Amino acid sequence: MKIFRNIASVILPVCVAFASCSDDSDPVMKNDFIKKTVSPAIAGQQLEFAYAMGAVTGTLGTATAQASIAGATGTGFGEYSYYTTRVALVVGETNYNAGNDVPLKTVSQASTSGTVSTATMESRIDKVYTDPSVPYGAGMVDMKAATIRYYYVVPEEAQGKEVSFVFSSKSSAGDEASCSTPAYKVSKMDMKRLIDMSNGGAQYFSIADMTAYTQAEVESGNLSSKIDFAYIYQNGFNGFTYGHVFISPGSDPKYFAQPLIPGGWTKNKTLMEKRVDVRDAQLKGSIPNVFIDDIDFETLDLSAATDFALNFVNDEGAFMKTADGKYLAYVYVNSVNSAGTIRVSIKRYPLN
Amino acid sequence: MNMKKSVLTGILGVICLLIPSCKDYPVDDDGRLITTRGQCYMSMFELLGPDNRTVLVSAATIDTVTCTVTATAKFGTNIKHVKPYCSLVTDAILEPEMGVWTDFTQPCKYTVVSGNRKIRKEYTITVSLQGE
Repeated sequence: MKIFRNIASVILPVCVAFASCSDDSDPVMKNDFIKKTVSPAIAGQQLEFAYAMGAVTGTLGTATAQASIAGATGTGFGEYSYYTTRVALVVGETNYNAGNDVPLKTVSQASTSGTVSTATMESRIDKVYTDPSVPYGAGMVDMKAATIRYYYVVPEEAQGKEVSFVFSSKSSAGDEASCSTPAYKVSKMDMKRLIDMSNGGAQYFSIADMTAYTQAEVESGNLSSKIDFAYIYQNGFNGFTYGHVFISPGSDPKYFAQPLIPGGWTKNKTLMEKRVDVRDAQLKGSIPNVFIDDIDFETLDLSAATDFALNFVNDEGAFMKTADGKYLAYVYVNSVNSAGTIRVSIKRYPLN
Repeated sequence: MNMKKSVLTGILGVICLLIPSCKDYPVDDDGRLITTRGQCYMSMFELLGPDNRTVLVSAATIDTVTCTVTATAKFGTNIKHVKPYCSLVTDAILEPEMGVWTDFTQPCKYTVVSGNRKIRKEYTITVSLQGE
C-alpha cells in the first residue's frame, strides 16, 4: 500500500507537468498591443500604440493596422523600435545615457492608404535588441520579434465618435496573428496651443476662431461680435492688485484699467471663472498627466460666474462660456511677462 | 511577587483610563456628541473663491462680544459665489453649516451652538469688497 502511495506521489506531479507543457493549440505567431497615449483623443492630436509581434518560425514579415475611421495625415507605423541601453552610447550624433531608449530601425517601409496602415519589417536587426548584454553594433540577428509604434492622428470627422483598431501581423513563413483594441471615444473638443497676446497688440481673443486679433484686425474684418475677451496687463489699478487680466468687452467699466473697447463694438459678456490648479498636460505640453476632458465641460456650471478674471500667473487659467452660448472653453496661461505679454492655449467644447 | 503587582497595577490603570472614555454622551440628530462644554464662539473665518483660494485681503476680524465678523474681499472678487469656512470652539456646532456656495453681497447670519446645546449665539458676517 505504501509503495502505491509512493508511486502515486511521483506520477501525479509528472502528469501535471506534462499537462501544462502540452499546448498543441499554441499559435506559432503571437501579438499584443499597448495604447501609450493616456490623454483625451482630440482632433489633430496623435494616439500612439506599441504593437508587439513574435514569430516561432521564420522572421517577421508585415504588420497592419486597420482603423475604423481613416486617420488624418501623419497616421501610420513608425520605422523604429526601441531598446533601453545599459551603458552610455553615441549613435550617429546622438548621445544616450544608460537607461535611455535607443531607436533601432525595424521597419523597412511604412505606408498608409485609407483606413489601413502597413509596415514591412526588416529581416535582421542589431543583436542588442534581443540581448541587451552585448554591445550596440556587435552583430545582426534574424528579427523574430519586435515592438513597433503606430501613430493615429485623430481626424476632425471622428469628433464625438468612437474609433477602434485591428492590428495584425504576418511572418515570412506565412503565419498570422491579430488583435483588436476596444473602442476609444474621440473628444468633441478642439485644441490650439501657444497663442501670443500682448498689451496694445493682439489683445482681442475670439473663442470661435481660437485666435487673438489686434484692434486694427478686428475693425478691418468687422470682427467685434466675435471677440469674447480682451487681455490687459497693468501691475496695479487704483491701488489694487490687477496684473494680467482677461476681461469681456461687456464687463463693468470699473474693471477696465485701460479703455480698450471702442464704442461701436459688440459688448459680449463672456462668463469666466478662474482656476489656479488645472494644469492640463496637453495645453501645458508636459506633465503632470492631468487632462480636461469632455466630462469636465459637460458638468461645468458657470451660472454664477463673472465676466472677467484678474491677476493670472503661469499655469493658471479660466473656464469660459461665450455670450452666444455656442462654446465652453478652458484658456490656459502658459506664460506671462511683465512687459505685457501672455501666451495662452485653449481647449474648446461646442455646445450645439 | 513584585512582577504580579506591577501587572495588576497596569491593568487597573488601563481600566481607570477606559472608564471616562466609555462614558455615553448623547448625540444629536446628525450623530454629533452633545457634551458638557458651554463655550460658544467662532474663532476663525475664511472665504474661498471658485479656484479654492482665499479671496480675503487679510484675516477676518471676529468680535465674540458683539458676535460679528467683518472681512474684506480682494478687488474683483465675485462675492455672490464664494464658500465660507470657519473654526468654532471645541464641540460647538454651526447652523446652517458652511462650505457651500454663498452670496455675501448682504450680511449673512450663522448661529454658533455650544457643545451642551444650551447656548446659542447668532453671528453676523459682513464681507465688503475692496474698492467699493
